[in-house]
Amino acid sequence: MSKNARQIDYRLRLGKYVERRMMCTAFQKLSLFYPLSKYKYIGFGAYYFSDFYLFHKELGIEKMLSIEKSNSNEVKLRYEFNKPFNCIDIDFRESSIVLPEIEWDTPSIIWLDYTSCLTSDIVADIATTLRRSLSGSIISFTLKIDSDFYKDNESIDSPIKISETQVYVNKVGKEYAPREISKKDLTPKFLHTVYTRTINNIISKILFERNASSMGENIEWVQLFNFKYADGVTMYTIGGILVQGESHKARLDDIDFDRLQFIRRGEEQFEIAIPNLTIKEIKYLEGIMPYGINADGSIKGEYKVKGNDPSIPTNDILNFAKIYKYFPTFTESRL
Amino acid sequence: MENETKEGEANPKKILGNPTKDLFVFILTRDLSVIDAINDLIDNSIDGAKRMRPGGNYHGLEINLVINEREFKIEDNCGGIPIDVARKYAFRFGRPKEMANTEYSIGQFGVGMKRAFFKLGKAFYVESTTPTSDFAIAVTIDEWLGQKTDEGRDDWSFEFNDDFKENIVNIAQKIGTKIEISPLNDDISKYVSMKTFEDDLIKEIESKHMENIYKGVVIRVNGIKLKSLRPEFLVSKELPLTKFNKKFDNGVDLEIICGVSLPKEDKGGWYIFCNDRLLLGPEITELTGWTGKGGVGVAHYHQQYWRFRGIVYFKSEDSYKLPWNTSKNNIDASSPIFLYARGRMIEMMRPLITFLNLAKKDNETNDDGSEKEYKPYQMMLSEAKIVELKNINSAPTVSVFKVPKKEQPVSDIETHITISYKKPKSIADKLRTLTNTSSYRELGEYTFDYYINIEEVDNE
Repeated sequence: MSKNARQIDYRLRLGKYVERRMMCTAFQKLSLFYPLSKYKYIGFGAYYFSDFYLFHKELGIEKMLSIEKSNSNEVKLRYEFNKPFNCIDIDFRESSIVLPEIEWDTPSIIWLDYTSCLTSDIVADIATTLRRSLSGSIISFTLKIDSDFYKDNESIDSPIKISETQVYVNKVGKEYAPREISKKDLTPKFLHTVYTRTINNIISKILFERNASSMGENIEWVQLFNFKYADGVTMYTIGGILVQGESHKARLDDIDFDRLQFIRRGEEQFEIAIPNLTIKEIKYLEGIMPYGINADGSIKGEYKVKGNDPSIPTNDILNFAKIYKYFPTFTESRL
Repeated sequence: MENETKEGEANPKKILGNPTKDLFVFILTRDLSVIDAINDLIDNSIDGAKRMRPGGNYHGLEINLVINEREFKIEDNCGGIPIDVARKYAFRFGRPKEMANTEYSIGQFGVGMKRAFFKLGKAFYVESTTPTSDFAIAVTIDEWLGQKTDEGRDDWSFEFNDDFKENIVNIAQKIGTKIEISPLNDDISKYVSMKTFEDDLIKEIESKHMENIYKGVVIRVNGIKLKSLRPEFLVSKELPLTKFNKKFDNGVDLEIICGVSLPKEDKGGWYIFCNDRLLLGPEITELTGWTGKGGVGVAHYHQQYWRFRGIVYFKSEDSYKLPWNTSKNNIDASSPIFLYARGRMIEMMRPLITFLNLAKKDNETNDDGSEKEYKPYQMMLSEAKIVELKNINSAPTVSVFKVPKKEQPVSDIETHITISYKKPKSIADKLRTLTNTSSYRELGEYTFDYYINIEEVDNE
């Protein structure tokens, strides 16, 4: 994690920013399950703790755990210094060591925001969180979409080449890798579907285990997120909620997550594309939201600027319309 | 068969589906080993003990086995088989539904005893005495195979010897069951005459029945009294046992206990019990979560994990609900309750594996070959005390083991590594002149740093 934490200022990554805000909006709805103050947030805060900052302020969560693998004392001190609130605990060991040691006795919001591709270590983390989290917990995983990671680089000099499919199975583990993966599936455009299928395999197997103990009310996974965004590298986030029992299922119906337009229940992704707009354009477009735009991205007649049409590309308008509620407010300033 | 064929002809729609005796005598016996068969007969004695002493104190109860190339004998004082049970149930193939259940029994399927007879020998003799009845049965298997009813059908029944008695009063000393199988099948006779057989059998019974021996039943093989091989743990306040309990909706109880112990290669792993009978263990494969990298369990079992001990108890009044196979030497790996347990086992062992990895690191030498001065995790192990399973309730336990964080003294062992490689001397000498370095080591460092500079590698 630490290398990544140095390289990226998450505040400046707009895709991630929008994703975080959207997730926060979804998390707010969890108060129908438990008071939000009862929730524990588990994430990878990096130096910026942007997610921790937002969720503490917006949701009032006080039980917070940031996992940051680090051996160096200086680095640890820097993390501690950058902690925005003192209710955040930092564990400097690997997530695969930390997660099994958690008591899991409170509902949780877990966001394992990896910067790498799916590997068997991550699969094990996913299995642990699914196995242990209580009903009413939301669990999300972010992964990098990088087809090169599943290319055979190790046997370059060897006459025997391993297929991409085999490399994927070797890296992710045979227990949960989908049975059939085509070469096409592992291209950048489709890799997320292989991730989703793998993660769905983990979910169904782990929930089968958990439900073996109950003859009545099964615990179920309801997918909520399937994001794609690219602040440089393409990233993928899948997430969902665990629910068990009639009362929790009724509350889930009451929440009606589907009213949030970024909710995605299946393989189809919600793509966060950052429109290329000036501040003046943003202010103008905000002014005509939410009713001033046609489905094709053109501006409805009565909202057009008379005599001085800004001619904003419809593609940017559409992308803006999808995310404007979660888009940061920009100001120009000189300090 | 003749008669059945005729029956088939009389009704051309009818298809025969009844079993043959051969299936039981020659086929089903292939699925178990000699030792499994003997364990099956011990299981029957233990179930007798359970009926006599539901509280589980078996002191004073004995099971004596004799085995050599001529004969197999097992004799117990565990209550005997009531004559009515023998008449209606005990000798049938498969367990009739109406048969009363022994709570927390091992026997369940109604195949163990008969299959063991067929596996081991050509003839068997059973004699059993209860407080109110006694009987004996002598069977030559070849004769039984050819036995027909008056109508010419296969006759599956057995007969008591003439002197059986009911509604009598027997003195306590006489009560028990004696089984003799002789002569043994030719293969079996050869097998048991193997020098190592007795040792193997003893080891296997000591392990499979460790809980029952521990509860007081005395088992002897050819006069040798067996010991209980229950695992021990090393426990301290800092190194507690991890414990998990769960009652499934179907009435099965699950208890998982794990921790560390002395490093013994053949003792490390998981021990899985059903109603106190060990099914598997020590188990060190994927089945119990040792999946290795690429699986979702922990690393493959190897030396640094010789200290791991885990125990899984499945218990049920109705033994049918337990996830065992009929030979009682394996688990039904697709059973939901086992899969649930496996998930828990993996989660519970992970922190212990982390701990054992750290303990191993303590024992690694420094780069210069010297021993580490500070070994916090080894210290935890040496300060822990041996606890036998029986005293487990007084030992400190937790639901999740958290590896204590020990501050390692600052050294660069963790953050620095040594690189070595071979290159032609002529070029290396040339480079040393060019780089103005005074040793090959310095040259190595220089070229390494040079690459970092040129490629602008983030070297923080």
